[in-house]
Amino acid sequence: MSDPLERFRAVFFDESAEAIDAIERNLLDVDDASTMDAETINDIFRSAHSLKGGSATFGMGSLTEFTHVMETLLDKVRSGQLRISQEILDCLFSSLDVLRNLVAHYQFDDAINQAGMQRVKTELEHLLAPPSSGQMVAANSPETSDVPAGPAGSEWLIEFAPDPGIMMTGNDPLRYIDELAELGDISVTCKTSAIPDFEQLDPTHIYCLWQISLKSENSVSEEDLKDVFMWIEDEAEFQFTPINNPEDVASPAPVIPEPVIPPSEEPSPPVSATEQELAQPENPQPQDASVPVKSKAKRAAQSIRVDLEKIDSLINLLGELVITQSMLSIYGDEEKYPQFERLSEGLSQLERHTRDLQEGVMRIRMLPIDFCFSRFPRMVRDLSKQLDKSIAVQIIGENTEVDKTVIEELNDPLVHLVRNSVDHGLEDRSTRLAKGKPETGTVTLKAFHQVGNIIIEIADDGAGLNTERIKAKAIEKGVIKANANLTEQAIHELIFAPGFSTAEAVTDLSGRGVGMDVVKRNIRALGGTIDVRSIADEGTTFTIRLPLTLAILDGQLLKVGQETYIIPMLSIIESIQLKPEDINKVGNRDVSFKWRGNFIPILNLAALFGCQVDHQQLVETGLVVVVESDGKQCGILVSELNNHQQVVVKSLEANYAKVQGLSGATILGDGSVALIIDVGAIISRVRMH
Amino acid sequence: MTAIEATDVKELEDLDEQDVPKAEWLSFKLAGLDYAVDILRVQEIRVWQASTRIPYSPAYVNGLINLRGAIVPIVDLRLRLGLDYRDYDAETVTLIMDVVLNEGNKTIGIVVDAISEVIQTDTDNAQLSADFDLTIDQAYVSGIADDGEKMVILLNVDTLLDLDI
Repeated sequence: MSDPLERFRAVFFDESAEAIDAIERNLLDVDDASTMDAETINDIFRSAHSLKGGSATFGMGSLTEFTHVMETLLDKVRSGQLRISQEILDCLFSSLDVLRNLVAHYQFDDAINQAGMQRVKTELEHLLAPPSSGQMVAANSPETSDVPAGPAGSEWLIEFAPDPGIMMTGNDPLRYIDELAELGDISVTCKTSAIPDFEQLDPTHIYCLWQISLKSENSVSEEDLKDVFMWIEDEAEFQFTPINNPEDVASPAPVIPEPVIPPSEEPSPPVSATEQELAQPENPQPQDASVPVKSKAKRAAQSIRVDLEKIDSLINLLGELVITQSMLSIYGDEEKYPQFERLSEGLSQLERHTRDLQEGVMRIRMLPIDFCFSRFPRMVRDLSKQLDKSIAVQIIGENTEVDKTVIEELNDPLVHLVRNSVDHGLEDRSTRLAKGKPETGTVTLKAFHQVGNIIIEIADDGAGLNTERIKAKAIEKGVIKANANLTEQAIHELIFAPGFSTAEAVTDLSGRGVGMDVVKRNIRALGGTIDVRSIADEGTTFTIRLPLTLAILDGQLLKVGQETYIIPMLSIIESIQLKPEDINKVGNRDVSFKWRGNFIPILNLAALFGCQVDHQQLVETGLVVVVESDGKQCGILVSELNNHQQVVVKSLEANYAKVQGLSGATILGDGSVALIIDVGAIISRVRMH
Repeated sequence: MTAIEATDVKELEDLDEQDVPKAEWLSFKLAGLDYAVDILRVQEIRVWQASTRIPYSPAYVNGLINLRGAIVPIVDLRLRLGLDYRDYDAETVTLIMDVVLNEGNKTIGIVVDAISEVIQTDTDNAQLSADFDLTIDQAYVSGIADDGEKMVILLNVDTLLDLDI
């Protein structure tokens, strides 16, 4: 806000993070397929290039320097001078770490890991040296014999027609012509026929187009030319025509017709870049498929960056609208107000639109879970190298959408679970082969929606949980008694007990002091649950169930005395009516009742929260809501059950403080405030007493 | 002649006063005494409305109200200052205050007996309160102002509403 440049810097940091992620994703693809097609390498190159350009703009010297070396290597791979190898891939992966470190340095003043950077840089430079001769060769030295990508011409005719508005994007066309001159000798003709009369002339527009003929001693490929104009490829039109280029004859798929085709296929000449881009995919050009594919992808992923605060204030405002709407809805009762027929029609329309609007706005906050999943292939790859295991990552349902806050909070628990699977779950190669399993183990991350929830499964096909060891450990740690008789499932669930970790030695991966209990706590803080299922030698599956959004909750309204509370529908199993004699008493206190064959405790909310209520009446009414959290049930005595509705969750901490047993508050249709009960917290309170 | 001199003197005084930082305070009644809060911290004045009781809250916290979508706690100022409780009546008002706390800004309402007026103070007539026994916690008081005949106790909103919950 203060310094305009600061804003651009922020955008650059956002974009560089994206660029690095994009490179990583592409590298992983290459890693999987162990081949690299032209499209992927071009994508990687492009990301690296824009990183270099951006960092140079902001004077981030180290970053520019490093990306330059990386780019040179990528360029060699792209031009076919280097074959992609495991060595190169590994080196590129470590380059990404260096890049992240450098970006963090400029963004947050983190220290640069000089040693690491130097090591990777040396490695890159080592790879850049030709493998056999060992001589240092300049990156763009002529190697006419083995340049398979694109026809190279020593003489080109280039037509360069910038969009009239190009100056508004901060680009000076002449600079690109200067840059072109670096490739060889050029002679430039400027065509000025399009310049309008003086009255119509907009001084901020460019009406010229240039014809440049380029003569170079070195071979110059079309790619090289495109590179020059890379920054403005969307803001200008180009035609590259090679002139008496003997190599073209040998080249099987000449690119020469390409620039000519758009005008000939399209009846009207391409006046804008858009039309040209649309025309291009029709070109039968399998060799150079990258260009049209790229422009298509650009079109599909149209998005804008919006400050999260703006969206949140919109959501707040919408919450207001929902409240106002439900306030008005009592006038929609046609029997009560027959004279207002039109009004009630309008109100029902308003209700529908409010609901749609609400859904729409909530969706703005939703992101595909991929934002969270995408880091795992890389993580697992590194871990599997470290542990010398062979592990594949399978991701299913990465487009499943979930609230941004949920994604952020989900990151750490998921990392922990995946680490656990890789470290403890999956066996090493020889053990797997001995068991008759495929050598490569699989970690599967799966996400899908299920009635207002998102379900995330982290599954491995490893050894499964070691029931005996868990039991022994639990007894040793005093989590259970030595003579405890537990089902297998109950033993598995012991891994969530606080202070429980089975790792014999504290490895680098798991056992970093946080155990599964922390994972469980994090998930519960999000209003979710986590379960484990494990079968010996078949694998372990963790299932996480989370609400789609933290901002809206499906709640049951109920009254205790005169006070209204809300219980999340997710925690309610059923509501039942008991006879006073069904309730077991110890002394004066109601303690438990029999429900589905088991005794479950009764929770007197009135006593817990200190509500004014006639206790005798409460028991006579016998209305009990059976709630569950962590597989533990309890019955809550209430005076009255009201309707259930979606409520907008508001924080109590914003102006007040955290209150025990409450997870927030909301505003009801009549404008009053109702408190939302944190079922997990009150159940564990009951257990404590 | 004398009249003209008097005007001159008044003008001079006015000039002098401009150099002294002035502040406006909103004064209100509480158990027969006059108190005031910095008017720039007052978001709005509302008639008293029913609030939702919060479990485990201290006695001086009345409950929560809905202030255009925000959940705002209401503090009974009599109880907060250790004065006697009194039932609310038609003159009872709630002042919605901006509070600056270490953990960030909060919006908290205070219930007072009745609203009085806006008074102007400068550093000259705001005395230190340490000399008086005000029966309320000194930490809540930022000074004493002289408003004609009455004494007005200036309250420090930030310490007053730093609720220890």
